[in-house]
This record gives sequence, C-alpha cells and structure tokens, in this order.
Amino acid sequence: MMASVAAPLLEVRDLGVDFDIGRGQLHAVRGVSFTLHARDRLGIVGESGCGKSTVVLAMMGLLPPNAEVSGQVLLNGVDILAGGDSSMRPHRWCDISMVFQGAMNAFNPVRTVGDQIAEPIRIHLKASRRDADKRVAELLDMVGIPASRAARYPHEFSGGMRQRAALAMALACGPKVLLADEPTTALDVIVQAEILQLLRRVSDDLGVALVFISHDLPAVAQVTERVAVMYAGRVVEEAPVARLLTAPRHPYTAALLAAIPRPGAAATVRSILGEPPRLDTPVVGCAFAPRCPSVADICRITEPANTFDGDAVVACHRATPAGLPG
Amino acid sequence: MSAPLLELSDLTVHYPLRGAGIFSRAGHPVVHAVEGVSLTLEAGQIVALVGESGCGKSTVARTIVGLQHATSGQVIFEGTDLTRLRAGALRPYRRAIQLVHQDPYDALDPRMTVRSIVDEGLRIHQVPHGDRDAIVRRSLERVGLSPADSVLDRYPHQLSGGQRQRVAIAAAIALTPRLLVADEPVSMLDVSVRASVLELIDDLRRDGLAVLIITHDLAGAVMLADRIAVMYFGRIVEEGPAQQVMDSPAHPYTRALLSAIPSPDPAVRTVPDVVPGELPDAAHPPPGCAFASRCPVAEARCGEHVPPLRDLGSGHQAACVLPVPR
Repeated sequence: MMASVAAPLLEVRDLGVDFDIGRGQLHAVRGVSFTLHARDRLGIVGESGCGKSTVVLAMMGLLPPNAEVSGQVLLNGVDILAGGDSSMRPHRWCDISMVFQGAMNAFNPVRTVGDQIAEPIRIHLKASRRDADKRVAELLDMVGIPASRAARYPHEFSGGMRQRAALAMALACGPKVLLADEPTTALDVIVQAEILQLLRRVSDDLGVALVFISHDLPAVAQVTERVAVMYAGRVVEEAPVARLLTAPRHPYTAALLAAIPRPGAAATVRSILGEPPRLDTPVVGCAFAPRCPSVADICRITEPANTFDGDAVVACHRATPAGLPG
Repeated sequence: MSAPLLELSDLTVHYPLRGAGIFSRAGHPVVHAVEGVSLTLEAGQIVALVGESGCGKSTVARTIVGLQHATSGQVIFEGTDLTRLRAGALRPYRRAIQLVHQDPYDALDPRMTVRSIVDEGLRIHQVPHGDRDAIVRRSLERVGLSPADSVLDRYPHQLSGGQRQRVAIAAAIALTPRLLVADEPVSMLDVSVRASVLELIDDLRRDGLAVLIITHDLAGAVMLADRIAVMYFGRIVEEGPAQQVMDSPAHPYTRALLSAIPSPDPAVRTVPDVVPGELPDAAHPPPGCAFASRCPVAEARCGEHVPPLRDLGSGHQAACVLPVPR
C-alpha cells in the first residue's frame, strides 16, 4: 500500500508510560500526541523529570522492563510499538535514530571514533569494511570533522567534536527521524550555537524529521518550527515556535519564558517557585495549579482538556485564544 | 581606598605533562593553564569569571581556595599572600574562603543527611558542639530551605537539583566565609530554577559576602555581577564593569561569546561570530594572541606578541591590539 503524499511520516498517538516502582505506579508520560512530516522539526521542552526523555526513549523502544507503554507510534502508518522489541529492531537506528544526552561522553575510549561510527553501518546495513569506511568519511565531512580524524581516539577530540561525531553516528544508517535528547546541554555557548546550526542544516539537507528535547527554550527556538511544552508527563501547550514565544497561552510556558536571562534586558528574570508534583500519585486537577499564578478553583478539581485553536493546542482552564489568562 | 578583599597578582599555574613526574627537571613540557591573571575583588562585590571549558577559570578558582598550587604569582586575601602559607597557617583562610562546586549531584555525599553535610565543615573547624545545631538550621533557612526540619534528615537523592545546590551553599555559608567561590553554580540546573539560585547568591551579599562566580554563561553572569572578567586560553582578555562589558564589549572573543547566546526570537538566527578553528595547544602556546586562530577580525600583527590589557577608561580593559568598534 502506498502512503499518500500528505500522510505523516511519524505519528505519536496518545503515548503513555507508567513505571512499576514496586510500591506502585509512576505515571511518567500521559496522553502525548504529535505528528511529524519529513523535514519537520519539533521541540519538546520542560523541566527535569517532566517526561520528555521518556517520550523519546519509548519511541526508540529503549525503556527498561518495568515500563509499561500504551498508545501508538506510527511510522509511515505502521505501529512500530505493537510487536514488541522484534518489530522495533529493524526500525531502530535505520528509520528512527537518536543522539543521547551526554552522547559525547559515551564513546568507547579504546576504539577509534571512525570504528565506532562504522559499527551500526556494518551491523544494520551489512556493509563491507571498505564501504563502511567510505560512509564514515562522508558522515564526518557532513558534520564538519576532517575525515582524517576517523582514525583518532575520543580523547583526541574536543567536547564539541565528540558531539558532532555522536550526531554522525546517529545519522549513519540514514534515518528518517532523528531524536536529539539535550544535544547541547553540557556544551560551551559557542560550540552550542555551532551544533544548533548543524542540526538545522542536517535536517534540511537530508530531509530528516527532528525531535529536539531540551530545557532551554531559546536553544529549541533556534532549531525547531513547533514546540511542545511538557509538564508532569503531559503536553500542556503545543504551537508554532513564534506564537509560543510571543503569545504563550499556558501559564507554565509563560513562566519558562520569564526564567530566561537575556543580555541587554534589565534583570527581570523570574524563577518558577515550588517543585513539580510527584508522579507516583494520581494528579487531581491541573498538575501546574500549585505553582500557577493564574490558578482558579476549577484548576484544583478538574484536569483541563486539550483546547485546539488552529495549529495550536493548550490544556488550561484559564487560557483564552488571545493569550494568557489575566 | 581600603585594600581589596582578594587580589590575584600575576597568577600563573602550569601543569606538568605526563611523563614529567617527581624527577622532572626544568625544561619539561607543561600545560599553561593560567598565565599572568590579575584580578581584584572588594568586600561585598560579585565578580564573574567567564570563559569556555579549558580556559583556566576553574584552575583560578581551585588556586584561590588552596586546592591547587600556584606556579608563580600571588593570591592576596585580606593582605596576606596565601601562596606562601603552610597548611597550619592556611587553616583559618580555608574557613574564610568557601567553594561551591558545579555539580550538586556529585558534590554531596549520597550517604550523608542534609544535617551532617552542613555540619561537617563546622565539626572540622571545631565550632563548639552546642552551637552547631542552631547554625545548621539557620544556614538552611538562609538559603531558602525552610523550615529546616523539612530537609534536615533527608538524603541528597530525595532533593531536587535546585535544593541540592542550596544545601551546598548552606554548607559553605555555615562557616561564615568572607569570600564564596562558586564554580558554575547553576550550569547543571534547570533554566527554571537557575534564576532563583542566582538571586540567592545575590542576596548573600547583603551579609557582606563577596562572591567570585566562575561561569560560561555571560547572560546569567551579568544579572548579578558587578564586574565581569573574560578568560581565554589562560589569560584575562577583557575585564570591566558588568554592564559596560555587555553593552560595549571590546575584545572580539567577548563579542563572539555574546553572539552565541541563543536568541529566544526564532526570527533571529544565532550565528556565532567566530571562524571555525581549534584552541591552540596549551603545551605550546602561540607567540601572539591565542584567539587569533578563531578571530573574525584578526590581522597579521595579532600573531606577533601576546597583547597586554589596555585601559579603556572607567575601569574597563581589554587585551586586543585592534581598535574597539563602535
């Protein structure tokens, strides 16, 4: 069956992840849905523990055995989660690939970088050593590393170069979807800007759809076209990046924006007070209510449903089409 | 004018390279980590030392707190050169100068309760037993962990990243230091809690505490620092009043750092103002300006001599031979 032109490349439908933690269930991800076409770039932002990494690990089928995943991940219309690990395996790295958090520190120190990038090519694409080496040279060139460096060891690379090499490895088998989990978090600001540029270029040049996870909204805004904001396991707002940044409709999005220091602007940075809720007890009402400056009575009783408005969605009782509640 | 609280005078730190052990003679290769750094800090002042990984800023911090020997130069604290003191004479200064580490996940012993973490320094510095409980509680409440009873008997893994960093700061201020050296105090924290930890540090200055913040985040540094010193390749390349350095950066490297801060406006693409290049080899420093290899405005003469710091008026100085663009 041929997929029609408008059919999405990847569709995540009502994804949920519960962890069995012995004394009960931890609801890490609840009802997350999004759609990606080729070349689409989606950012997922939120604080530590909001479930953003769990979403992408679930999409890769890489969660530990105590995780219970519900919902669907449709790749070209086929649910790759349905058949367990054996149905996931042909897609992992080849169709959906990932740059892990701290990937630059994940290289094996006693093997050359080129050898490690070649490994998925030889295993998944069954390439000969010569073909794999050729492909490694292409990949390194694409991420801006001289191909002669393939024979070097990880400690001979700077942090930024190792992160580029990790990206080359993730792209080795020509994936259609690339998941990048905090790819720039531990990097210096200049190197970070270079990696963000590289992610944009790679997605444009190769037509790869990108999911970019970060707690850093400005970094996400530099790369993606849409942004989903997660809080306590749920997407509370998703919108085109310009709209989300200029007219946030969820108070949590507004609070994240207010926490960004900006050079030149007066020091009006505000932290978000309080802590995110515990996820091992069911959330009553809106999970953000205890920290929300616009909280109303209903927020503590009923969990807000998703409100769709054109190309945006928000889950807040107090949101108006115009923007934030007063 | 009274003497400054801390004065670094021509501070130089060289690390011997591998192979140069206890039998090494003069002439063995060394890594030039810190090269002729001079910096002053007044009581109650906050100074930010800004630069990329490997620029030597953490080595400066470690030398000030006595974790690293200075190869030459002086660390003058309240008129006494600490580099000349032996362990016994240094002890009161070890209490007066406290260090807060970058990673609150690593810095706290996972098997110690918050109470014993904050108490440890008091015990070591022989604070009378009867006073310690009150000091521990007061310190925790001073950093915003109140009531202290809510955290006293908890272990680090039960705390969020922001809370852990507050515990680390409480352990430091419990000893009533005059100088706090904070090495990247917020870089491991979520953006949403960074501002509140920086606000806390700002607030501590009301107790007369001076703070040296080591950071790679210029935008965050300007929020609270009175003065900013920018380091590159072991040297201070620009130093001055914080707002002035931000508004009219005089060194191309400072401008590069500013240009790399991701803009939260997706319409403004962040393109770092550097030419792709690597840091020079720290074992063989170049004869000229170390930034010349990445500098977008470098000229031939930049490679001839290391440019000295030039006075630009109102306490602002920069080490660049080129005229400051307006």
